[in-house]
Amino acid sequence: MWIILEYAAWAIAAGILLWMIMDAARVNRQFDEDTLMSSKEGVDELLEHGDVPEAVEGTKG
Amino acid sequence: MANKYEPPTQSGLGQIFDSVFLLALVYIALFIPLVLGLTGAGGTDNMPEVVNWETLEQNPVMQAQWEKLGYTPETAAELITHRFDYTIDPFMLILTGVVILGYFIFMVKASDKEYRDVIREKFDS
Amino acid sequence: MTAQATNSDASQERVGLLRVLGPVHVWALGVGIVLVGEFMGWNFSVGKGGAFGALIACWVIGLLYTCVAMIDSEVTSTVAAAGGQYAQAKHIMGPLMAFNVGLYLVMAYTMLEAADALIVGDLLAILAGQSGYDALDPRPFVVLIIALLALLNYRGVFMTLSLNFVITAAAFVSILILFIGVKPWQPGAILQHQGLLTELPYGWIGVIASFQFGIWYYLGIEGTCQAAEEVRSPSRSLPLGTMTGIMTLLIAATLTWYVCSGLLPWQYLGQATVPLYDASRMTGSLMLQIFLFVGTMFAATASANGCINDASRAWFSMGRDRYMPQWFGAVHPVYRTPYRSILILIPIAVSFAFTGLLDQVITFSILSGLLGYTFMPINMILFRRKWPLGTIRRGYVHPFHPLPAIVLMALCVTTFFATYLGFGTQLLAMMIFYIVASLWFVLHRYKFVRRADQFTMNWPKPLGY
Repeated sequence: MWIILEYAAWAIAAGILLWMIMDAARVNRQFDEDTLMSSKEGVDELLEHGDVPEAVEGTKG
Repeated sequence: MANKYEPPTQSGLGQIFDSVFLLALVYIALFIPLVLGLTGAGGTDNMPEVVNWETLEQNPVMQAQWEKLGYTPETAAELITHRFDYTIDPFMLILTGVVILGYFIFMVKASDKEYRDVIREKFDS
Repeated sequence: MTAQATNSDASQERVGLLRVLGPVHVWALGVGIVLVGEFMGWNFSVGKGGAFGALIACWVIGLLYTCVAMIDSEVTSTVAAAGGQYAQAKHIMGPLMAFNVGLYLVMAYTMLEAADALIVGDLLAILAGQSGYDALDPRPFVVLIIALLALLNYRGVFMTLSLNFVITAAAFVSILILFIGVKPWQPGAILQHQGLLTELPYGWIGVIASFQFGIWYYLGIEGTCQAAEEVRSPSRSLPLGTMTGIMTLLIAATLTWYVCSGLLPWQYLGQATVPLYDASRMTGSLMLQIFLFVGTMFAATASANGCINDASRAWFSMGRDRYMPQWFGAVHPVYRTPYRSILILIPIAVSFAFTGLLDQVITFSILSGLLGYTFMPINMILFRRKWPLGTIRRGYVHPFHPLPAIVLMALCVTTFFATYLGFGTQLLAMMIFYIVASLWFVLHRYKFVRRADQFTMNWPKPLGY
């Protein structure tokens, strides 16, 4: 039983890896590199949304 | 007014090379202590001449727990008598200290130099 | 949203990481990575300094990590970006330090992930052994667990950390159940502290030496910062998740010590592979054994899962700034995860797991973490100096500055000394690695980095520049 499980584990792992590689390749084809690279470090968005609530400096220090 | 620094674009091959280089460096660092045969802590064993629970200084409670774990005095003796060696080699200790301290001083100084460039370009141009 | 639609208006729309996480996920990320340390690893501190030595280490190192959590909460709730401490270093200390911090993170987490996966494999081998099959090859299961968790991470952060919450909570409960199961209100019935606890076998130097593995109780809690770009409200969730996380761990660590030291002779405990599971075997209760087996399994899985999350965020943000090849700075347009970084770390983690260098890998992981903690007090002091209170908006301001920074620095120096006792060569080898990597960065890699663009915070010019 355990031997079957060993082979099954190899097979499933290979399947998962293959799927991820294929998906990554598909994404690389469908989208241009600039879109994929377009993320920005988060803070600007954070401030625009007023996401910093009662975060007033010096409140607890 | 500082000029804006325009970095070159790295080729795909260069990117692969850089990734592989860094990984190779990690493996070298992992293997150095192994190759030099200097891994883990040194230790000593003070095996008594006659091995039984008494000479191993195990009280009845300890004996019971060892036996529950499936040990006999003979199989447990090595575990019980093994001790790490904490003798300090002053030269190595100082060397290690200097390396770590030097690393952090270098880190702070070199980072600050690069940081001044970043700040100049960000705020002064 | 179809793929084509995104493609066509690419110029307007940015593909960034998804902001979906709450404080619960932050807790799950932090505690999830660490909790495995209670199931294995911490007990080597018993070997280095005796049972009482390990308890002192547990609390002293707990203090170290409380300082870490306080400092991190302030800085990261203000510098809320993926990459955590890497982004902090970039904004406060400068590029070279940031590069090094990024490397500490990637190394510490990827190596820990490999160790976690190996543990899952070993546990399955034990299980197979008990059912009469001694020759189980753990490797396919190691690869499978890494692949499965990578897939989960690839497909989205929300699901990943929700699962982490469930299995981490279950693992924590298994420790609580064991604690209740050994009847702590009836000393001597099951727990035998009176007979088992001895004097310090090495004296006080052993206590200091045991600090090295005392780190296991908490290693990785600082990983909560990696989620900064994906939590809905970083300034609230990150401090909350991190602080509740460190409290959970302090409780878990003390309970673990109490149960194990009351059931196992210290010489055995000091070298055991799965101490909590061994403790459950000593109770003679099959129920408890099953609970702890599952708990150990869950803890290792949660840890590997969190490590994939954190290592890939650090690698991704370095790629985005071109500290690493820029190819890794991509975000998956549908799942919104740093998919290329997740992919590349799979073969690296598997190779760490299969080199047979587990001891080396674990030591390297701990030491990389320690270097990261040494960076924090320097960073904190500079942060307050360059932007004093009142000049920028801080999500959280920690009390008693600069006391936590000073305490943290003193504890880090002590822990370096503890590591030197017994692991001096590894320490030097690792320092050489980071020095060579730094030279490589300064002489070669940094030329690809845009200077001003890496400073993304909306802050005024720092004082003194």
